[in-house]
Amino acid sequence: MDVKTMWLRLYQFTAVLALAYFCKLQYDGEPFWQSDDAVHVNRGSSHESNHK
Amino acid sequence: MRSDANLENLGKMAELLPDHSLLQIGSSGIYSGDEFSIIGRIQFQHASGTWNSWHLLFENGKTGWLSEASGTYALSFEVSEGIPDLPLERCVPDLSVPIQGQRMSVIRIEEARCIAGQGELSCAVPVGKTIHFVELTASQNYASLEYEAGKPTLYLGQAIALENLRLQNLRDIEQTAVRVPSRQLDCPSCGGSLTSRLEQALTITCPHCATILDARNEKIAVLIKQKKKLEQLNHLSIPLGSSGRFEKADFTVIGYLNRSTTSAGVTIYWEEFLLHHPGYGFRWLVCSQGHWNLLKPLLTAPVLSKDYSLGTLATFENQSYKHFAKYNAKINLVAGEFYWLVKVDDKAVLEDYISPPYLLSKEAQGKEIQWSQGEYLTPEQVNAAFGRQLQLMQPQGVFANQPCPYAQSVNAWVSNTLLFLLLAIIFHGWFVMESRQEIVFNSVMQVNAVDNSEWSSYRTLNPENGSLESEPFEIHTQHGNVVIEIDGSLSNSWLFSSLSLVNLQNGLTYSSSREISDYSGYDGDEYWRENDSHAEVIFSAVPPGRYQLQVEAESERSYGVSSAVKSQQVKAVANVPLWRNFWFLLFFLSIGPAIFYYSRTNFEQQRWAESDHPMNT
Repeated sequence: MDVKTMWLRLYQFTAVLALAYFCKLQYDGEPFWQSDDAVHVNRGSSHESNHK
Repeated sequence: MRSDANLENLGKMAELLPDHSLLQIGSSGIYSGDEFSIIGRIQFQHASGTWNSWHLLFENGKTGWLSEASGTYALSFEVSEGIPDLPLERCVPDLSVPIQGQRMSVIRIEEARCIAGQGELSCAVPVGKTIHFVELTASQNYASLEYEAGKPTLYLGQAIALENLRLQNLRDIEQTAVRVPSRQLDCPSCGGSLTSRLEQALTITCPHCATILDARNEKIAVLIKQKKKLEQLNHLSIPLGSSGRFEKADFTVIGYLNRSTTSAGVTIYWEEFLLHHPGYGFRWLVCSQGHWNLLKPLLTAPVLSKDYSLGTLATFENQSYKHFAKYNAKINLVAGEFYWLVKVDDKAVLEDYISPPYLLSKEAQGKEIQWSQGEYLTPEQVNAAFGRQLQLMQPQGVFANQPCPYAQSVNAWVSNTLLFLLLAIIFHGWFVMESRQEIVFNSVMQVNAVDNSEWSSYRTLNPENGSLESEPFEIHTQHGNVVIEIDGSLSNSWLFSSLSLVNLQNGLTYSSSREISDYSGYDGDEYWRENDSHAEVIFSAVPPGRYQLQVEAESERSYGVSSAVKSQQVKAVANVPLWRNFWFLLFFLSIGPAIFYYSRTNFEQQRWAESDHPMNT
């Protein structure tokens, strides 16, 4: 495989990954630009919020 | 002169000069479906060497001529009508002449001496007589005007490759090579002995003193001395006499030229190696800045045309070549042997047309225009052709007809990019169609003042507080997000909100915070405003269930405003498609093709920067 073909294969590989990641983000409704620490998730078991 | 009437077997009417032609009397072939046999031959000598006109007899009784010069061939027939009224004196290279409904271009004006004839020919063959020839071409069409006593005879036909004539009974190449022995000569300048490999050599360079010799006659004469250049000539990148395999045949390097062109004070040098094969004729192996081209001389000229967007085009064998550059060339060094007279300082005008990896080169010198077709070679290909590791320089920059390394993968890149963009559109379209965008909560929230400041007319140091708990609402979608949008109504103040989305069934809590602000005022007479009164929080992957939105807001008293009440609209929307993810995906998918496009454009700009059309990409 020559260098030019290698770049094309790399593009195909990253494009497939990007499409898969895009679908995952869209399914969850998750914005790529929102960092993880912007939202906190507390998986409590009580029906009462600990914010109350 | 080549009268087709009154054929007569002349036998060997004069001594033919030995040559390496593959053809012989008795050879046969097929042209346009008609079988023919070679029945005679006339040999001419002109300034550039010898050529043969082979007399053909077709099965239907028609006769024609197959011209052979330096490995190029044209098959033509005498035409009695439509002879152009063109005096020989008016003929100049590139002159456009209408012949039988098509415009043909003059490529050569020559005088040649008939030196011998053989086989069945007209009895009028005048050995020793000088004939004037004007050759014209239009693409593959070929015409020859032969002037005798000022009156032209017209021959019309086509340039042709020998392999297309399906020839039989040819001479054996190896035998012809043996029949013509190399000549042993003495240099009149230094007395050193010379060996000539090329029978029809008119120029020979002495390997001992680098003197260029005129070998037209038995007694060779000094043309010009180039003694100071002997050292350079003895260290050629491809030594004279080397054998290289091109076009499935073994060619021998017999000559070397070092040429140059000067433009805007910059001189560019290049090297040309003359190759010879007994059957295939001559080729040029040209090296410029480490880039190589194998050039084959053409008997005909391409058709030139003007295109509004592409400039001047040369069309040859259904392929268009773009005009690249026109320049003056000068010979600086000469070594080896040539079938025409070559001298240092000989000048010519060259014009290149390109269609990478191919090139058409037009060389105009005196009354002759010679077109050649070249193909780009890498140093590795040259090494492979000569079967050894030659001391070749590495290519510098981008050459005129160097194939663009990205050209072959253009289609693959375009198709891949379109495919992935299409998939992105389809996937995103599906998510947009599928999204409910359900407003589950929408309310205006008031934030009341808790004023315990002593400096109430100024900014309070104590924040104001407010809280909101929404009525429970249902989220039905199996996946997706909840987007909380905040729009404040503020005046020179800020509002900080802590937001929590709480699942009332299992306590799952999503929390975040946002601050909005809106400030304005005057800077002298100039009004300014910094408005950032909209914010949103996206809680992703929110499972279905019963939820409550809780908001705790805090602020401070607005500067210069007595009212401490502030409000903000809080809206929660479930299952919102995110367009920014889509735009980012399109951007990401375009990075690779953009880099590819930039690289390709950059390569082409480097190529055309060396041309007469530097802006042309």
